[in-house]
Amino acid sequence: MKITVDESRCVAAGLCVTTEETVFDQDEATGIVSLLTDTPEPQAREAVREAARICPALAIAVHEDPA
Amino acid sequence: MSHDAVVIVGGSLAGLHTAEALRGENWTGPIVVVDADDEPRFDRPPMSKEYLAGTVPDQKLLLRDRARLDGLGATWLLGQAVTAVEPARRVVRLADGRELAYADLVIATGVSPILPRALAVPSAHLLRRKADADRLRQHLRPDRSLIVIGAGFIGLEVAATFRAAGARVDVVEALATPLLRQVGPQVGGALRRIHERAGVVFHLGRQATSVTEQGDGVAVTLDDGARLTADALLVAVGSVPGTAFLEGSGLEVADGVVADGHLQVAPYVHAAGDVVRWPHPLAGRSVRIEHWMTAIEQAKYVAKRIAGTGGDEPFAALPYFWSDQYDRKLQVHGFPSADAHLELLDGDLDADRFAAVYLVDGRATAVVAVNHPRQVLAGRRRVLAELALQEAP
Ligand SMILES: Cc1cc2nc3c(=O)[nH]c(=O)nc-3n(C[C@H](O)[C@H](O)[C@H](O)COP(=O)(O)OP(=O)(O)OC[C@H]3O[C@@H](n4cnc5c(N)ncnc54)[C@H](O)[C@@H]3O)c2cc1C
Ligand code: SF4
Repeated sequence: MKITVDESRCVAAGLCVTTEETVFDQDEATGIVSLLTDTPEPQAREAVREAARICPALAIAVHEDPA
Repeated sequence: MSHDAVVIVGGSLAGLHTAEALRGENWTGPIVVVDADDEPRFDRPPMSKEYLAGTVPDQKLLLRDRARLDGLGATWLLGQAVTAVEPARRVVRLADGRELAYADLVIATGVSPILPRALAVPSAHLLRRKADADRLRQHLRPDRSLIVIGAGFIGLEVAATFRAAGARVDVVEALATPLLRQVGPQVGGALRRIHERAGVVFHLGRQATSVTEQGDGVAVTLDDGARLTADALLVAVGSVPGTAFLEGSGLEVADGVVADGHLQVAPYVHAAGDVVRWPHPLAGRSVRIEHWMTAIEQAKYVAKRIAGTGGDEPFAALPYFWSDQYDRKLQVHGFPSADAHLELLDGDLDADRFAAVYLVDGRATAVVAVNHPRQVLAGRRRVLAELALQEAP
């Protein structure tokens, strides 16, 4: 799995950080999303999919590995 | 007439998210979205910020790209107002006289800005639609000047965008502090000082009594006799919910369309977004919230109710909004009020960053932060916990 974020869409509500804090981080001042890793460990992947699903700004894109 | 479609009135933020969430809940029936606007699917927050400043291209303002919109499989009737609703027959009427039958109806008509008669000169600017932002941006130059009437969020964000571009800005506000109703006197005062340091001139406790056009500009007279002149005038004194088309429908309107705790207005009629007033379990009263995030949360909730996949508990999402002014990001969760006691969590009101909670009867009802996203999330948890206590009998 590989993830990308579009900082320009992020509204800094922090839902992603609350969902998976080993992958998502927020800028100290603006709260805008940043990634701690773009290739999450297997145990974090379900939470990452959930974060992408609930992100109100559709700022998180998940690219699954080809089966 | 077959009543198999979900008809959504208003195809902007709340309407679009309702349609998307319905598909997300595997609702496969027809969806018809009607909007009076030719292209309602532009995002509004950037219109007073980055888009107005010119740093965001047009296509980025569109909430979804074409492919994604097409993939929804909804019918979009754009440039068509809904003029009436008949809940007994489960139909809506369009401006061209056509009727649409619905299985479920979603009212997502948002709000529109007020233009008081005394300020209604042809060149006055309002800000809600992309065309408004495009027109206002023509004045965004260092050699131009702007008068903003109304120191709410939209007025102050535009003031910041214009000052940052070097334009001269005057802000007229009837109350003693900017944003008094929204964030109270102390935080409002802190924002006032940020704007004053940036060179904005405030006229607080003053009403604009008349406006005249003068050459290419405007002249505004205040209630103390002062006269301001500028190249452009923005009126940002608030907005009215889009409920005119509900007249005669029998559906209750009282500063918004009145819904129950499940955002339900009547059998088969739901509402979402800026237009809806509902009893918020955590606020202990009925509220109408004009926040981007809340519109989306309501849309998802209503979609679940229609699809039969959730929404059994009343809608109780804690309101969240942000505002960008200069290099400051203000974030607020909860129900701030002007009479609450402010308890600082970190920094002080004039620091580059601070966070504070609003206390009413000793309990946190809201958290506010400037450039302090971590504290705001911690504060949010506290507000949720303390409001839940309050709710218990
Ligand atoms: C300049 C600006 C800046 C903002 N900045 C922020 C911010 O920083 N943070 C934040 O939290 N919120 C912000 N907001 C608020 C946010 O944009 C709104 O909460 C959001 O747009 C609400 O969406 P909505 O779908 O309920 O209403 P709207 O976006 O108003 O959409 C309603 C739609 O209904 C249509 N309609 C109305 N009546 C009819 C009818 N009779 N028939 C058919 N169609 C109809 C309208 O054409 C419109 O397209 C801002 C708003 C503006 C204008
Ligand atoms: S959930 Fe989305 S909008 Fe919220 S902070 Fe994360 S990326 Fe940004």
